[in-house]
Amino acid sequence: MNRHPWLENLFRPLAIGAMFGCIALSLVGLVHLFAPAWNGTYFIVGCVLAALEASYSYRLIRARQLRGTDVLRFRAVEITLFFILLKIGSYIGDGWAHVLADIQTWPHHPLDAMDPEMTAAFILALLSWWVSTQTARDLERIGEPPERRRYYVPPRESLANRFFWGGAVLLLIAGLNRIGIAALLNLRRPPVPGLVLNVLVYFLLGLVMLGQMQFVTLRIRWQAQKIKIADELAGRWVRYSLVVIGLAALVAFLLPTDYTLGLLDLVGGALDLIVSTLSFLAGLLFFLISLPVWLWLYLLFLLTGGPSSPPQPSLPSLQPQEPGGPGGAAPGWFEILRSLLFWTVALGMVVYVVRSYLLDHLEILGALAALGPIRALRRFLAALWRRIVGLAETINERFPRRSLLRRVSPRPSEGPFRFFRLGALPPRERVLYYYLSILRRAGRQGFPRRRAQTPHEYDASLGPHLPEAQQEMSLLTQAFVEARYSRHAIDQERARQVRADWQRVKAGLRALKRKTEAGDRSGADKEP
Amino acid sequence: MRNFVFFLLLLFALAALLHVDFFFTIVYLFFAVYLLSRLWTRRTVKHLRVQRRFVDHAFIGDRVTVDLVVHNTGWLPIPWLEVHESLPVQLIAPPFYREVISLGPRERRHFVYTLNCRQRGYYPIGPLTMQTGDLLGIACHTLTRAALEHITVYPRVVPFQQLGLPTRSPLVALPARSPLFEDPARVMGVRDYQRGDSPRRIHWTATASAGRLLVKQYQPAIARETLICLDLNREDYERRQRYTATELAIVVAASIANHVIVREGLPAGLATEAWDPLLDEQARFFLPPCPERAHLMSLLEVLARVQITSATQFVHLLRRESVNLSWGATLLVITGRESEPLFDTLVYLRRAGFAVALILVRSGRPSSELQERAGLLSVPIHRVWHERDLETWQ
Repeated sequence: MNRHPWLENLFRPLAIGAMFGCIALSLVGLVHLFAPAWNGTYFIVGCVLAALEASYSYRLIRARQLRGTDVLRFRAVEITLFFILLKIGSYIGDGWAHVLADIQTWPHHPLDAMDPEMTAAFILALLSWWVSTQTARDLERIGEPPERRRYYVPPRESLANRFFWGGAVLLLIAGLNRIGIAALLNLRRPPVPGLVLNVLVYFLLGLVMLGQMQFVTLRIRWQAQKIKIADELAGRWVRYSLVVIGLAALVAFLLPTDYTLGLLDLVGGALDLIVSTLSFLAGLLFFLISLPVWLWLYLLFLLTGGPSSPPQPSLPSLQPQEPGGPGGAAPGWFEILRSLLFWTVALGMVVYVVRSYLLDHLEILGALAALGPIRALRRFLAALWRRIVGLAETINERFPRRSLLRRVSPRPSEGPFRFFRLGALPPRERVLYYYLSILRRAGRQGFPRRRAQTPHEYDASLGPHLPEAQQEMSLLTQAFVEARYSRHAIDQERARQVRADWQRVKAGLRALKRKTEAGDRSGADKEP
Repeated sequence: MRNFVFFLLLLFALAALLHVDFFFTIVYLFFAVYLLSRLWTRRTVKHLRVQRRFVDHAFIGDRVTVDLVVHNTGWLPIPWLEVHESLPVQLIAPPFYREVISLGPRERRHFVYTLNCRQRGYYPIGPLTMQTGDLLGIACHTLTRAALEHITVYPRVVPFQQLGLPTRSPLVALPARSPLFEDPARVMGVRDYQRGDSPRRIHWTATASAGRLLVKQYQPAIARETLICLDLNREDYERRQRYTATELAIVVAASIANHVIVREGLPAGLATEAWDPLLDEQARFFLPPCPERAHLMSLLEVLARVQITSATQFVHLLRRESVNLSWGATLLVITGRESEPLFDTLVYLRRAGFAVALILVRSGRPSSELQERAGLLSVPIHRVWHERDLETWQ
């Protein structure tokens, strides 16, 4: 059941015809490079009409259920008609006298009717007609059960491939049309600006058709499975398709497309910049080292009154070599920045596409990983990683407390800005932080933990100094041991309990500090 | 779309080769379509919430309405969403619910369907599988939300006013001179708290000591409790009538339990060994006799979900569970066929001081020899093959 006949009867044939017209337009443009006087309008019209006719004739044959010789006769009439129409089209612009003279030669030289121009145009129009017929056939076949053939391609894939290859051919022809064949191999030619309308139309129509194909495929599947389809689905599909394509077009037109520096130039420029910066730094260092020597020599010269003063060292200047543009002139910083932006976007795009494709096809990723060189590289990287991890563990063993502190908190007490949110830490690390914070505070107050002391030993030594928080100190120690050495999860509730203990111990340490300071003051008062 | 990525890379290569600015715009257009399609689908999947609302317990004959709510909590619309809910074939035909919808931003959609509870059982509802994707066929996601839930359909309960048996107790006669029920003055021990136990029976001191709820056990003078022993061993029912017979045996058990607890207000329990779909393994059920209605519901719930099993020894079950009963309790044995070991066990139970009755669920009438033998043992025998046979007890 087709509830949108205009879609099949009007929109699709017109869209296919327009897409073929876009390709033909570029082809005519390319021919104009060699024969500027050639009028290719009839060829474009012929291709569009051939595509349109192919869609309708295929459906007509299906509807009338023509078979065998009937089909051959029908096709023969079609092709003859194409030829006649193209021949008539090729005479447009010529005078009647010329046309009549040409026709009069046909009885004597029948092959004169097929001059090279006509032959090429006829073959191309026929190709357009054939591809359009195949497209109509694939559109009709969508939703049919798959055939049991070895090289069977589902109609949807076949349509998409046809669109993609047509697009690639169109880009190539339109590109050659713009830059000229001679300039093709010149990789340092300037970019060609400007909108290529027929290319844009082809790809926009193609995207719309892809959306339609997806909808038709799904709808036929749902109908075959007798799944109820919501009424509003078709309308929303069209709306959302247009929104997606519109958004994508907006993004595409906003992104940078021109670049004055190639990727290699840009990398070379970046390397130059790094080398220049390093040279400058080396020069600066040399200047600073040589300055006292020069001063000493200068003083010696003043004292001894030598014939000439020593040469004064000069401060180096930062002059990075700017990468050369295509015209030989060095591009400005804005150009470099624009090129940098372009290549960042382009490379990011390629990386994203490849990455997402590999993640979607893990079997390809597995096959790639099994390749010899990649396996060797992975082994090398794994060995390197093991070395680094081993080194880190050695350092960690030597400085366990420091590393733990660093991991738990981003050194909250050292910097002037303490943008450290304790609540953002996981419960286990929060408990570790509480304990280590007490260690730091107690260490500052003259109760540092000895390296050989276990947490419980340290608790036994510190506890008696905190009579008001001795029990909390024990609980905190216990919680620290649990968080540090257990494998089970520490939940938020547990971390909240430990926080309460931590606050009590902190209060106890503050009280101890006040008591110590008061004792110091009274001792100092009594001393004189 | 398999070749989309290759095409995109080919376009990029062509654009870089030809160095035409606009071609990069075309490449960006396709990349943006690719990116938008993937991100859109991924985001919408994250914002899908599903809720299923229904009454998860029903009696046979009830019609349960299930309200399935699919909610798009995000601001991005979902272009298409295929919803597939798997359902039990015993309750609905066809055994699934499917629909394709499109959800706007923050839109909520209700799907309502009705389950006809025609057969007792413990049935899975769901899982709900959904499929969504983009508009061009670039990204497609299949996800399972609203995990499996279950509905319990209780077995049919045939009400009968009184069992037509020559006894005051549910099935058998007891000495009238003996004191009835338990004597609260004589505590003989404690046991774990069970659903339906009176709070007055809780032994608070022992509970505090053990760290779990314990109740007092009083010495019974004469027990008027009934234990329904249901045989669900495959071999104990005739092969051709196995399904009908076991289902009827369950109906008999449920009806008797209902009668004893609701009508007579006396305690009834259940002992059986069966396949439990909840645990997905063979399980032994022993629900000690209790007169509470809540206990009756627990009992019916077990009867709703038990399934026939094999490799069990019903006579072992009888002997094993009888030790948990008070002296003088009634054992109601429901099985598909009599056998020598079963008669031996019944004799043993009689000698142990229990009152025993045998209900045979089968098509043929018991032979006169069997009736004579049962008469000698003072074991009443009843045959049930239709639900109307239960009605003759009225």
